[in-house]
Amino acid sequence: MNGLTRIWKREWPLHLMLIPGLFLVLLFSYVPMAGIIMAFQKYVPNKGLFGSPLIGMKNFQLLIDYPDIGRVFFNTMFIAVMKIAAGLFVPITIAILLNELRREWIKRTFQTLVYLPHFMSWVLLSGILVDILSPSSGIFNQVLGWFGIKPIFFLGSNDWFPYVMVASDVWKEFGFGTIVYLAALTSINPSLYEAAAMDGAGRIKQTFYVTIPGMMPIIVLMLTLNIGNVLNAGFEQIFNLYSPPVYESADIIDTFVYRMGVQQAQFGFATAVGLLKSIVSFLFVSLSYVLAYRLANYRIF
Amino acid sequence: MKLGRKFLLITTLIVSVALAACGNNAKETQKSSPSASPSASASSSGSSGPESGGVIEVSTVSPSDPYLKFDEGESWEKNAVYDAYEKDVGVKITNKWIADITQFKEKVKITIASDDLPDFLLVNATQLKELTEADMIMDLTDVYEQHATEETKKFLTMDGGLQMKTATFDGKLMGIPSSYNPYQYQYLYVRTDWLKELNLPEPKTMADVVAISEEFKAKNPGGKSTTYGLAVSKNPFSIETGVTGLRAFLNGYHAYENIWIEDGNGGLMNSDVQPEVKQALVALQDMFKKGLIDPEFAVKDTEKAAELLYDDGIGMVFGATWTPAQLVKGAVKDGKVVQEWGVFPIPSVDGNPARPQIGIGVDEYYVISKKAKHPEGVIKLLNQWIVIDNHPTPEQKVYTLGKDLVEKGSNYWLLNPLRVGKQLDNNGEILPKAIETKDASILQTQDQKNRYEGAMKFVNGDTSMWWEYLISGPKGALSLNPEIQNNKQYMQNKFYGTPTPTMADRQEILVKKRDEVYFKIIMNQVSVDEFDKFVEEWKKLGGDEITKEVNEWYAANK
Repeated sequence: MNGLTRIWKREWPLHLMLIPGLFLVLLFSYVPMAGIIMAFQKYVPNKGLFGSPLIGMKNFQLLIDYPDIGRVFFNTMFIAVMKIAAGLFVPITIAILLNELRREWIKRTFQTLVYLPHFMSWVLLSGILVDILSPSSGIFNQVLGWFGIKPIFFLGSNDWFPYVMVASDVWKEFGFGTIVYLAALTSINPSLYEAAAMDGAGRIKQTFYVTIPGMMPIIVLMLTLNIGNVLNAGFEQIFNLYSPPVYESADIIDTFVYRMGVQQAQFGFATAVGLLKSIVSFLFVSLSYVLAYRLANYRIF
Repeated sequence: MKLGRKFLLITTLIVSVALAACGNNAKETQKSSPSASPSASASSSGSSGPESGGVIEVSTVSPSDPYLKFDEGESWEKNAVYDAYEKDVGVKITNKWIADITQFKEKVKITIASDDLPDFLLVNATQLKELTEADMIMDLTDVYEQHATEETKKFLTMDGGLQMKTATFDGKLMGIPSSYNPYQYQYLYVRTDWLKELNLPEPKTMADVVAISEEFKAKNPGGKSTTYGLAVSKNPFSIETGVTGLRAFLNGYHAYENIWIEDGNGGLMNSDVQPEVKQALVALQDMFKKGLIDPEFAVKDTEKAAELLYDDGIGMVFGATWTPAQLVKGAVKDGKVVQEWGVFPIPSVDGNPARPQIGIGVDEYYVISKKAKHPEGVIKLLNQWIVIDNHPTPEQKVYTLGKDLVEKGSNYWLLNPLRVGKQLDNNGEILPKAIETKDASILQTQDQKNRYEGAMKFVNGDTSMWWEYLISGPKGALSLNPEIQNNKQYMQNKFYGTPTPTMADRQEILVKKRDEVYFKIIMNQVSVDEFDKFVEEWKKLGGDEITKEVNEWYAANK
């Protein structure tokens, strides 16, 4: 009996326990992939997945021919990239600042408070945002008024809308990110700080030369995961907050697919766009993974 | 040994999980089978001798509704309603299957996909077209002609025959429209207590609308810091916006939201790009500049926009018949009526009366399978339904009440397998009169009786029913209908085919561009002349193509 069979003999019941999980993954993550065929069909619900006529690449052609396609892609990338960047920078900064706090209870209270919006849905938050940002009665414009700034219709202005989306998304999600980075901070060996202090590094220097390098693997991981979202600018948020006057700056791929796929019942077309998005995301994730491996020597698998 | 026991435990766990999953399936199949198999066997045994005793058999499928409560000893297989049909018109009804109402539509799809149609069933407009193309359903032209009674024929063409036309392909009648009343108008609702307070006349023209909203804003009878003239919400052009929309405003300018109207040369044109819309937008922009429309309307949904109506900020709104049910939230506080609202027909910009835009009034059809042996049986069911739904003799109440002939809330009418609704109602003639004179004897339909009862509660002091009085009462919304109806003062979409190919591909971008430009003009972000640019763009982006296709359809279906 060699070692491998001995391990197998001991652990095979554990492998057996995997089966239900694997079954669920197969059933819900892999079987539905057959639906990709809809992207190449003129899908008719009555005829179903296998009865609908195949139309080749026509759905993709329709996407390319869409008159506003450039605008829609630009908006998506613009909002998504800003969200990824701000979604990294803000939580890291907050985590580092929180980590410097001496009093544990202040830290905990703050953490809980900023974490709360993460649990609210955009349907709810959009109602709140419309109120807060209202130019006539919103608290935000009132505060601006104290500084002599005229009320701004944030949700109705193409100059402001994308930034409002980024800012509100960061506000909603940074608490969640902060927790991840705080966890990363605790894993840094305290003796590194002691050594740095010995060498005469102050708080600032310690942050730059010990804390940030120590967090790097997590930062790279989060970035790699987020890069895959470069075509996801946040459907729920934008769908609940946009309106015709800001279509120009707010219409993203997902809202467009919603109007086309759900409202006009072009299911094949919606699937085609979804497939395209998945392919692009896959490429981006792969690319960033390779880069992370090359540059930061970071591997997920 | 230890290992063995562990293994046993684990396998038991896994197996039990798997069994639990299977168990559910087994139960479900069991649940559906008893209803399916007996009826199937019944149909095979029954169809052997249809001529005997003159009773013919037709099969259908039915949704089981939780509101339907069977009398003791009755079921889908045997009940008073089916018996009555068999006795009175010689048609025995069987069900190929019965599905819960929430799954009924899905199951119909499967039935169609598996080519397993019952003799007749209810389908939607798209399915009707597909079934026609797939040659799965019967051409009903002759059967209907022969077997439908004069009354039935009249009943289904009260709207001028439009609904029947939507079921006709290449001159062949392929389905029986599950008809309902398309004549649902919008109206202008105004705070009449404010009109009185400020000594203003009732709105007759669109100029009056602007003048009244200016007065409301300037004099501010509600005493609120935030006041506007007209309540508007974020989807003002959508059909789903029943209150706080602007469709009726467009109608006041003889403009219409995305319907096909006659172009004067025997063809059709789309209403979205007509010069009348530009006039309406000029007026809206003007109101926006004067602060008569909430500058934030583009981000407020109906409920949010209506808040200003509830707390005396706005005193005017366009809306459907049921608008009072929305207004009641502000109009009645602590059991007291604190706001008085009046309802008026949509004012017009000029001497010609405004025409509210309306739809066709049918989206589902009864179709008969090509394999059906007795299509005439289905028509007989139809004839009988129209008789018993509109003027039942005391004995015929069995069709709606069951064998005891008393109303006990069991909703036996749901058992009638083929139901069509009146394309025209006379609520507007009957209800206001009945409520004014407190005369319940002239009421004809169940709907009228319910509404009368509600309005009477208000008359007798129950303020929570305030809204019914404003809908059905002497000066209510319905009381305005007879005039609109008698003068045919409405605008109905002239295109009722299924979407044309270009429509399917381009409708989204056309509506998007339209909303963008309409909103920007209203919000004074761009000049009104942008409308002309939009018209050009609309044509290029597929509008011309769609117009061509619609006109080809029109030429073929006139």
